[in-house]
Amino acid sequence: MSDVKRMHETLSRALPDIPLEVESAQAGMSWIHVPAEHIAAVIGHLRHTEGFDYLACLTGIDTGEELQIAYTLRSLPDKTECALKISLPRDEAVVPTISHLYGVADWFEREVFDLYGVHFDGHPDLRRIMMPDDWEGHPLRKDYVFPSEYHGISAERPDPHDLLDPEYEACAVDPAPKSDSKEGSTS
Amino acid sequence: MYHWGEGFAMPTKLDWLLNTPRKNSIWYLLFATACCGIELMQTGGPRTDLDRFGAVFRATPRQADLLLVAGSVTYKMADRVRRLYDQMPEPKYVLAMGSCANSGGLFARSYSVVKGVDKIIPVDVYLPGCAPRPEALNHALLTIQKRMMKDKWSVRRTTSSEKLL
Ligand code: SF4
Repeated sequence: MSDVKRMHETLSRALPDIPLEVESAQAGMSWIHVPAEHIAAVIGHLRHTEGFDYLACLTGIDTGEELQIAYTLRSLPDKTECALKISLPRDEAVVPTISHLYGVADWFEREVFDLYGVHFDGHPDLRRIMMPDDWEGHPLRKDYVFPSEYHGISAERPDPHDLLDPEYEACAVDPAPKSDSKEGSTS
Repeated sequence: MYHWGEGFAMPTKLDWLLNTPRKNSIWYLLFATACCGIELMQTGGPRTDLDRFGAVFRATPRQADLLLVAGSVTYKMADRVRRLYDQMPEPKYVLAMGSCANSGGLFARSYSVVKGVDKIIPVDVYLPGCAPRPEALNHALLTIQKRMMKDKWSVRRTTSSEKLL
């Protein structure tokens, strides 16, 4: 049985009030889907009782319809891994922080806030971490509109593809003359 | 042989006199923003050896003649690049190294990378490549030297970064 399935059983027994579901992707990876408001409780349990002492990754996903956050936890002594996912509505993405459980989550959550605009309730210092403080919008959202300038620096530059002569491009991709000459030389 | 009394020959000689030591001691700012910086370090190393042209790195813009922008510059970094440039004493030169510094390169369609450092500061020499080989950087430095030899003592170079905006 995979780590995730086993952990799902353990969690369902320990936290019977929280609806948890195992989901998997075609590629074979599976994770536990947790309701967003319970994520801190579930991760707290994994951290303190199941020995998941290492938060390997906390990242955001924008599927177009909703935002998701994926948590990957590891237990270094047991060599097991457990992935959790939550779904959030795009317009009101608020989720409890887990920065009190893992110190590293502090910056991870700032990153997700910066790039996806997810608000982490109870985070001690929720500021942008990568983009400048006065940046507008959250760049990794699917509906993000690219700025045309920032602090007077224009973001316009013609795309080199548009400057190329279309006929030149047609010649460049047409392999016919080359293969002809090759056949001629070998036969 | 040069004679002081002979009219218009003097400015040319003066230019030569001022520019020759200048071009033979290009001190560049130790400043790398991305992977191109690795090639920059390599160019300073023994094989291509920028030292033989009198070019050594300086860790402060106050002592640098050449701002070598090695790598992609983000909007967040842009203010710092401009400030470094403004802190350099005149005459100052800028070498945009790599596709990123030239035009944004492979990040040209991203939200965070400046589409060419010439949007922030005036650039003297563009060096294409991703990353340019140390030999190419060497050649760019020689091009800067040639560029320096053409400078006129009486003509002030356009150096304000404000003018571009
Ligand atoms: S031009 Fe290429 S090597 Fe240089 S900074 Fe950009 S991506 Fe890196």
